[in-house]
Amino acid sequence: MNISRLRAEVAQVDIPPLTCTKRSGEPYKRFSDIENEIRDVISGDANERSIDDLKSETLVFFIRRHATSDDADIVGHLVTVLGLRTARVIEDNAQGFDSFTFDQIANDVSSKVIEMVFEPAPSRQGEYLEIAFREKVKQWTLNHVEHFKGQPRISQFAEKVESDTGLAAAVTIDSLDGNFSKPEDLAISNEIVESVRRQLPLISNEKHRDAVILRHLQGWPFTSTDDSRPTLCQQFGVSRQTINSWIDKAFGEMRLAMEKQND
Amino acid sequence: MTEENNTMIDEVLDEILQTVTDPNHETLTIWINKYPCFRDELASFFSTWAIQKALPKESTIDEDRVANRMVSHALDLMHQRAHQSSKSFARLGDAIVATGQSDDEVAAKCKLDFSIVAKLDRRLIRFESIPQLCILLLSAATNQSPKFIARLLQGGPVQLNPTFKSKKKPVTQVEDFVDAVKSSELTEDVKDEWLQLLSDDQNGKVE
Repeated sequence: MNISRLRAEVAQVDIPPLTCTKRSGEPYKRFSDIENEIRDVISGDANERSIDDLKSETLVFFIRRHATSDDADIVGHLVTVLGLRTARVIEDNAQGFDSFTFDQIANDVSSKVIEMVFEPAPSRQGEYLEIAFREKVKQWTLNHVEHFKGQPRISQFAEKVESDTGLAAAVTIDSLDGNFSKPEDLAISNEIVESVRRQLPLISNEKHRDAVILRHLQGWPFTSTDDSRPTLCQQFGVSRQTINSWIDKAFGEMRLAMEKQND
Repeated sequence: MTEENNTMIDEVLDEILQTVTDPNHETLTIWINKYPCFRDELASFFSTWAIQKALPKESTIDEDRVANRMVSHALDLMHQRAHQSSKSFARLGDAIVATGQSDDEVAAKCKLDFSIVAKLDRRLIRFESIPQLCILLLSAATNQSPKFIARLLQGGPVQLNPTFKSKKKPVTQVEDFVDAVKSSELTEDVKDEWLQLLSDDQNGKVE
């Protein structure tokens, strides 16, 4: 980016530009709506608004600018708002663990957020929080979830499922492998998919449950002649027969649990 | 995985999370075709994401507890930094050292070269001639406020420790920013950008 243009953009108020660059050499840059919001705050145009209404990226910008001040009140307030949002992202992306592991993931990710916001020297990851906060926290959460794969998971029955929809899912489960070309077929398929989604907690084995999700909700093939296409067999490192058996067991568990609920 | 690869996969995941909403197999295949060297990493990330997206919300987080913990951690870091600043920051070089970066790294982030950073550190460049953009870039690169950086760049020149005794008082040459740019080892393109900026400022073209 040309310095003159950069200068013109920051001339109105003093917004230090981001300093990192992508591998291509393209400089990191905040989105214009974020810079506009920062300017509004600095110029006083946003005086009527509450801190709670500010974008997360704007909050990160101001926390970083106040990090060297001695105004703990302001920083504390900004970090509280950011912390509540961080917690929601973690909750959305770290499901299926026991409470201890869940808490550990929440602790690790929230610590990482603070370390990056208060980093002594700007890094790519830290500055990216001023570009797309939610996406970065989501990425870190999913990375932690990957790390904790294989840890003990919650195995419990779901809330009582509406019997009609539940049985429909159980009875017509084989149809999930079919192609739905007509609109009414698609509607039925969506209904089944939604029903399967609700019943996932009924599956006690994590691998069996993951196989159902990837196969029936995300369309992963068992195998492929195209090496570039990821497959279930590669992902789990087992044969097609084994995965089929896992899925059968998973649906068996779901049926059994629902029958108990319906009795 | 090398650091270079880590950076690259990080950038790819940034791009994916900004554009993809449904981590299905078809989308995964498109991204693998775009970045075949990260086939396994992408397959693993998409599968984790897809599974998380499908799972019903059973675990609920204590939002207030997470936020309070983050505030406590933040205030600790602030306290450490304040202690460090008041203790040792008298020159630009101190602020750079505290970040763990080298002068060259900071220079590159600020479109400067080593010689200009060294002159700024020793206050050998007249403060009034330093463009505001330079201060803003240094502020961003060191995570200090522009006001604090401006304070470090003002004052009398810093003398080097004499290595031999001379009867004459050492003369320290102070120059304008524009001269420091001209005599630097910056590329001609970057020099031109600074000179154009300084010329615009002098002519009042840029407010």
